[in-house]
Amino acid sequence: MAAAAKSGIVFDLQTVRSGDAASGGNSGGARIGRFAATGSGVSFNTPSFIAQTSRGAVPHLSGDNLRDHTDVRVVYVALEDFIEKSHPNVPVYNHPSTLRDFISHPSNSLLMLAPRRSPPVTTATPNTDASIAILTSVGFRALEVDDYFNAVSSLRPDIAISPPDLPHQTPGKNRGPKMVFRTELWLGELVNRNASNTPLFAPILPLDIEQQSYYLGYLKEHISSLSGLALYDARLAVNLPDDLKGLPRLSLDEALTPHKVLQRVGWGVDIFDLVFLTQMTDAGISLTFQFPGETARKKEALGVDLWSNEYAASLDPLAVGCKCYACRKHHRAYVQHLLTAKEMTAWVLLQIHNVKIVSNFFAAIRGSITRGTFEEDCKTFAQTYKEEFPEQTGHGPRYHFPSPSPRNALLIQKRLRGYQFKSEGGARKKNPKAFNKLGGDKQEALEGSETPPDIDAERLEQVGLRSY
Amino acid sequence: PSALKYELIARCSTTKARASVLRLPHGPVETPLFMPVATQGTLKGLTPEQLESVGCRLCLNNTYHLGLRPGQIVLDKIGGAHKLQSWSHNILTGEFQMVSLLQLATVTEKGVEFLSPHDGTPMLLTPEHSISLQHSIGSDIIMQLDDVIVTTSPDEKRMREAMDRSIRWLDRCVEEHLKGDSYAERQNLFCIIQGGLDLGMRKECCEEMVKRDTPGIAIGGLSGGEAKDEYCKVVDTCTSLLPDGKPRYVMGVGYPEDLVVSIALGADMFDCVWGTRTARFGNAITSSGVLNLRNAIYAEDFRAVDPECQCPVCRPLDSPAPPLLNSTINPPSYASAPRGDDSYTGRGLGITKAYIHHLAAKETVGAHLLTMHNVAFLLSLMNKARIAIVEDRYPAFLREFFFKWYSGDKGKYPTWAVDALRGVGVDLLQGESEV
Ligand SMILES: [Zn+2]
Ligand SMILES: [Zn+2]
Repeated sequence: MAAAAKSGIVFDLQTVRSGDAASGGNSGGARIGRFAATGSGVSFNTPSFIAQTSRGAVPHLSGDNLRDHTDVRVVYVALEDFIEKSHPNVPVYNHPSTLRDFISHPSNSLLMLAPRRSPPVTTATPNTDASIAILTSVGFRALEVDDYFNAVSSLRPDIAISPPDLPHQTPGKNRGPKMVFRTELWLGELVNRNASNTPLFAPILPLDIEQQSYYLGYLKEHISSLSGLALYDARLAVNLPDDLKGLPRLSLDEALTPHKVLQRVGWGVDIFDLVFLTQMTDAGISLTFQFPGETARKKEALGVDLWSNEYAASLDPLAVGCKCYACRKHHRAYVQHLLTAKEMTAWVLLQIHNVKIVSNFFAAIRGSITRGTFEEDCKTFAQTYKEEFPEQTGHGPRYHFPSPSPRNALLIQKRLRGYQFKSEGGARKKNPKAFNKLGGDKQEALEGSETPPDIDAERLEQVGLRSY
Repeated sequence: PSALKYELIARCSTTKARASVLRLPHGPVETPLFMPVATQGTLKGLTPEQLESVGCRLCLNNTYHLGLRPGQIVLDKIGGAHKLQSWSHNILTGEFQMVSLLQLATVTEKGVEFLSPHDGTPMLLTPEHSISLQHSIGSDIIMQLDDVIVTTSPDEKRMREAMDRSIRWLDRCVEEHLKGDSYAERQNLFCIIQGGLDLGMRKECCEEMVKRDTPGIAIGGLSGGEAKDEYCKVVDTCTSLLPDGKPRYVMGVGYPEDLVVSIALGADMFDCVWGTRTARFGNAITSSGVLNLRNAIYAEDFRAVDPECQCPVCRPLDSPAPPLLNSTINPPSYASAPRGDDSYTGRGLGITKAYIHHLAAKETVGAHLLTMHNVAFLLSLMNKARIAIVEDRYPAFLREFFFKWYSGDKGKYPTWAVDALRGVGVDLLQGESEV
């Protein structure tokens, strides 16, 4: 089958199930592939997923847990997480080695660099021909595309996504052509200046395929310089020109449920950015779905809300049959306890588990495509599981670094920009405002259900026990 | 009755420092020992195996917090705190820092009365109830309920009352502990010496409590606002009166200087939340003192948090886990996992100060990493002290520790430490520096 060998990345497309009605097009259809980074020896089968990072860390997972307890093989890192300061003072640029060394990333997964987070937070100002509007932990600013190109050369990620020009709103008549123009311009620049031979993913814009047909032609011409495509609208996978089909397709539009993931697999997407992964972890929901599942009389939930008191004494694993570290060693009662005690370990265990559920999901999808039962299995899955994740009832994790004075606490709170930062139009519930008046009056502390964990524990010491 | 065995291994020929193996129901530990505080059944973002990986085999849970959440009924259903948190090693529980409770609590002979933080109804915690809760928790070492007054209280009458009451409450705790299901064969009750800063009262309390013959003895009420030289006098006085064959636990102490001095004064066991709490402020404990990694000077410091540290955070990326801190303790639970399993490896992470600076106060992972390092540092410091005692070079160890901690500036050595150590035959300011 088609194989594209590029500097550093080899994608071997092994199976394409095309022409089915669900895909609705010629080049759609579920695909099986093998993605390998020649230098580092990391390889994995597709369809698969990437994990988002915040400031270089997969939320809740220190490097040892990520390395030892998950099957994450690619993480997505945004340059905007590293460049608060002006250019000469940016620590990551002054690090004697690479981005991988700066964040001490485990060697069993690849680093994918992009200018912005996914999904990006809407900025106050628009992009220009030479710059992208970004948000750092200290505020909005512009990132010169030149600086991004230099960063790709010096930071040497395993994969870099060429910057797309994405406006905040649905583009009007004139904005579309400008998006295409800039995106092509920037890709051309990056290809020319790619001194470190970093494997590049070209963005596919969220526009109709006709609107970017010249750009797609440009991609065909330069296919030898490309290692993959980053789709900002997964539907376009169906209509991509045949010449580009040998490139792996990363979808960066939000597949908010496993059902949507399956639909996109059918469209021919190979690698997924799963926003729901950390979302569900933060919500205290343990994912429980399997592919394809067994149809029962009543539709099953996609996950279990471990905030529920129902699990207070449950010695069951987070999901029945799961073999992840959290399920082998711990049980629902512990996670329930940790959540209600607002202890950070709750989210560590949930993240390890939820990553495992998602890994198993993709492994089962690959098996199903290989067997030729994918369409049928998707129907079973649709009949087995509810459409949506359970409603979020609990409160997400919060940053609760104690601070010596309330004034500082507020300052830190303001400067905080964890991964929970809400993106415009994102599906995430905003965390209720945290109680952070450290020196505050006791009554207020007692009433504040949003008391940060440490303070919670310390308050308990001060105010005594409820009841035995 | 006792569910522990205290084996004295070595004694410093100059100071009162001792090294021992303490055999507990969930495996042996070695003293001097620092015990990290996992208040609510977890150590601030660390998995139990991360805690094991730095050599911890005895951690603390708080009876109050577990009594509140998940509560005694759930604890009974689950089968105790070891099962709750999947911790196969030892647990110590107590009602720590009752001092801080006093603003809102009334102490009567029956027990400590609180107002419920939820509905304001009065609640009563009695010595019997405290023991019953700790039976449900199933901790290897349980602490008596005591009446604690801040050591700096000028009210001598109240201090005496608290001391006398703590003795009476010990009797009630012992009685409760000996009732029923042979708890005393699985759990060790420690008494807590009170008496504030009054050495006479401490002496009296020691004598009374030693008579009760508990498997271990704690020195309580300290680590408040008292002057350090007063603190040292209390520890020194108590250890001189306590029997040789039992572990001595100084509650609430965990600052490195305090630890090494207290060891010289004859204390064996310590606990403190400082090391883990300070990690969440971005503070790293290193052999050259405490560094606040949120400070801009670390933004481009691409060296390990503490280059001398052997913890997973500080060791180079993917470097294999070193042998256990000491050979007596049980191997970590993950060591017996089948090959190919996605089990914990304890391999190095190669984290730099710059990366912690980048994460600090913004991502919880930064706090997890520093928490792990700080606990590792304190456990490793205790281990080094122990080896020095066994090799009978504890005075040299002390000089070396202070020299590094103050980067060679003897002028900065605290007077209280110099004086306290002089009292046990070590002059920090004399003699050759070790570094
Ligand atoms: Zn699991
Ligand atoms: Zn370390």
